[in-house]
Amino acid sequence: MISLIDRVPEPIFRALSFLVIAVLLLLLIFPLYFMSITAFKVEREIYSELTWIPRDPTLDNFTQVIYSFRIPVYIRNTLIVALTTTSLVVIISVLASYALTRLRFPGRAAMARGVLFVYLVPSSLMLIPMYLIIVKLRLQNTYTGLIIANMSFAVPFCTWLLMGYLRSISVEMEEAALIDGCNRLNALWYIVVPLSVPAIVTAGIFVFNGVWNEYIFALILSQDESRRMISVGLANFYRTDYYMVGPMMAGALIAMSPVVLLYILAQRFVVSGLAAGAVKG
Amino acid sequence: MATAAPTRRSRFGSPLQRREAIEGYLWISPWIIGFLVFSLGPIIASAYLSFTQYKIGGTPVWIGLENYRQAFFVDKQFWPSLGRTAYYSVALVVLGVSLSLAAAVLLNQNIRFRAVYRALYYLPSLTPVVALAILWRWLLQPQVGLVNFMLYQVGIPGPGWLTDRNWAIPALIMIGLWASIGGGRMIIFLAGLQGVPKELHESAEIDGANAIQRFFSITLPMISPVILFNLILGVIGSFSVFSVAYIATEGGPNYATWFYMLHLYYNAFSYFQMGYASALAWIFFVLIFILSYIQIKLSNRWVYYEFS
Repeated sequence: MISLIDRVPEPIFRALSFLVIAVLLLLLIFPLYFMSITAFKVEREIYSELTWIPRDPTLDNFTQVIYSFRIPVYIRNTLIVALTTTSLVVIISVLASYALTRLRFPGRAAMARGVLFVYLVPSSLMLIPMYLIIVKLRLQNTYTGLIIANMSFAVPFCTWLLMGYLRSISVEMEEAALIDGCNRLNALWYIVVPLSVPAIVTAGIFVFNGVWNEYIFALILSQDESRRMISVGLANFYRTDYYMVGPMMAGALIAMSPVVLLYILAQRFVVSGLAAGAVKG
Repeated sequence: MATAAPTRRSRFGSPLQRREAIEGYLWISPWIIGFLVFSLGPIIASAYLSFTQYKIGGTPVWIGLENYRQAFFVDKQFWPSLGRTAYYSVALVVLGVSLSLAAAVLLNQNIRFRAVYRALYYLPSLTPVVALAILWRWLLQPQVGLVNFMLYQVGIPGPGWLTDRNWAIPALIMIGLWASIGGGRMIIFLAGLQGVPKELHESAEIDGANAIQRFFSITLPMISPVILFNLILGVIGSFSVFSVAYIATEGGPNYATWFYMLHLYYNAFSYFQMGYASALAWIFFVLIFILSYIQIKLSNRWVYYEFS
């Protein structure tokens, strides 16, 4: 078998692997393409026949889902929670990961190991206690409650990722700056942060996406319409009107577009940032 | 490691070292405070609650190990939900990790538009879980769904997918694979593959090793730590499966997709048995801990660390 494969000429081998790549690509992308075109189809076309390009493209599905389901409010809520969470998480994690990888103090090694452990604790363990604490603090249906819940599992992840990256970059520049009389905070801000942009951007995007897509905590912590997150809003919509395929695909497309846009903008950072954190961390 | 600095015997020897320690504690304090108040505190509270009978609004009543006895010996859905979760998880992790690795190996070749493929492969993993459930519920609709339509075209009668007891979990595994093959896991594998020294491959090639032999005796050992990492994360993630099943099937049909987390969720937030649900959460945590521990222990046999 092995010798047989080995005798396959190089061009055929390459053509085969290209074929597999293309088929996999089709399988992965086609459902998304189908979702997108369906969002632009008129209702009759969706149910009566199968077309690969909308015959009379329409925005009706979008207007319907936006006006009848307060999507703009949900998007505003989700943006507020996601952006605040991301900023706070990045600040806390940059400080913590720098301290854990560069500064020497008693207990550092144990704490550094603890970060990975906390990151691996499934967030589902937190579901009930987090709910009880948020109820106790009267933070149900508030941005603060949602931000706290999201931070509790985003901070360990982000710190872990940044620690891996900080370990992989050289300390020489920082040390030179410190010897020249620069204080720690300045060294962090002017040297470490600029060097860590790929990791910080990656961590930020993952936190943002995590908050944007998070469902279960949003479901139990914030059902009130004025503070509802996009994931809960969309799921509720889905549960009430099962047969409105067009508006549902439009809603799914709207919910997906910010994360896709963000990824396209920052794609080159994500690859290098994720790589350093996971492979060297 | 890059952080290694000369270790000093006395930790608080000089004022400079003392200052560094103070700065260290100061910088990590937001992390520690947040962790104590919003993670460790609640976790300890939930450990206490798991030994009580507690309904929202009432006061917890200590009942000892009763909740655990209930789970192991009385609750009719406890073991089945765990079994379903294990089935889903094992299939998804084994298939998902192998397919991600295969995709990474394919994309690691010197081909044109590699970055474009990588970006497009990544797209499904960006689909929010709610959109994922909505999209696939429709594509897998037995009568009018696209998947069964395609199968019909080639002469295969499609199953009921999410509406069929036996097909519901395989359908969810398929959805999970679609959403995860090209995602972060593949990117991490790609990074791992980039780290395999080219000289190793070249010298093996000169010695007459073919592509398959080189893959199994060079690439695989070199990236085994990355595989272990992806396996552990995959098990934790897939055991926690909730949203996609909750939205697409609500645990049905006839409990076919009633996974462990759904069981926990319904006990906590539909039946309001907070004490019992806390016990379920702790059983889950211990289980995840044991599974991760086993994987790390077993990894001594097959994971190769360059510097150890």
